[in-house]
Amino acid sequence: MDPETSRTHAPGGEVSAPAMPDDMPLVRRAQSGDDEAYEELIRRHQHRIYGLCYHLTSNHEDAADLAQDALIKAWKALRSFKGDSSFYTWLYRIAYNTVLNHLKQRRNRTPHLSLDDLDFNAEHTPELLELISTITPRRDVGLAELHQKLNEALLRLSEEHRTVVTLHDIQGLPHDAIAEILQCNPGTVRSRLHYARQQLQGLLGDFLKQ
Amino acid sequence: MNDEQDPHPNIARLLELKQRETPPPGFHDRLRSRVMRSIRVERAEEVRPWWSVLWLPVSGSRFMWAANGLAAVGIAFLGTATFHVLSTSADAEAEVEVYAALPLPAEVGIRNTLVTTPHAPGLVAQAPPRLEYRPLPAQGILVPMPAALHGSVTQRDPNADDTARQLFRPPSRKNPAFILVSERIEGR
Repeated sequence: MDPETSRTHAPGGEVSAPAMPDDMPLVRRAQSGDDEAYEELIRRHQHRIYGLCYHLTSNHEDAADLAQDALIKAWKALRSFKGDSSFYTWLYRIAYNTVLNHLKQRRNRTPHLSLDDLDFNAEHTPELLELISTITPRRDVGLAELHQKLNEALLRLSEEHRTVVTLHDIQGLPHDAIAEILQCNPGTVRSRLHYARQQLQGLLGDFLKQ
Repeated sequence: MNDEQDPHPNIARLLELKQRETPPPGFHDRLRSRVMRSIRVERAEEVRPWWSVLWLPVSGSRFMWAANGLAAVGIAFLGTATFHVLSTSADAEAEVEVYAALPLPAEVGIRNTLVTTPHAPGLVAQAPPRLEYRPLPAQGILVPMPAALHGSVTQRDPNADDTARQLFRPPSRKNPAFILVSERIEGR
């Protein structure tokens, strides 16, 4: 099962924190120079780190480079990790800042969507067809087109709004964890999430059932 | 804001589609390998001496070839210049020794004579009544002069003794066509 999708919904619709194994023993070993321990930490979190980079950039190549940069930066800064927060929150923060710097640098460039390498083999599975039919009234629209429109709409959001949508609606992190990563309070996260969804509703209204 | 109160439920469902965007098979294994390889390189550079770190970016590059070529040309130039300076100073020392062995002009007593040359019939040269010979020929000026002209001067003055002849025709093993003229003669 893809770790990115392994989230749980608590009663009331609030997303609970994803079940994370205890990273601290591995972190301690990695801090003392054990490469295998750090490799295991990468194995645990790389899907989510790559996912964050990908959903914020909508570009596979950029996301791959950024995920690599973030994981190397985390290794360099590992000795400064004191365990005040969970390891994955700390790692997310490094990845988020790496992506943010990248987005600032390319702000004047036209974003390039890269979806060619992604897996659309599941387009014709009954589950997905049902999902699409419940979302959109347009039967002519294909999955690739829907993805394209969705990514274009996400890229039109500000970085803060795109981040909360990515972390909450796509990756399933709870508000508290997002607040910790973004170093703001949970109320700000909720507010940004609401505003971001409102914007997406306006941008994708033609593709959504009312 | 609770998800239950979300006024845009379809947006959340639409965003679930994003979870299906996955990288190509094997991507995560490759990513992990790349990260670990970079980490090992970084670790190796930490223990490498500083000069090795500076050397690495330029080694094997075109810049290195150009720098090596420049260094070779510089060494060749320095070698040639050093050899030239050493051989010149050796010649000068040999000349000093030869002149130091000659008697002083004051002791010779050169006569005041007029001489002519066959190459310039109308020209009359006057020998100096008294030459103040300086025993350091390195301070004088080397003037190229045809040996024939010089020989005619000595032949036209049969009364001049060997000392005067030697003054106008200093011995030189390497280039007998060059004679040393003192500053006094040059001013004449």
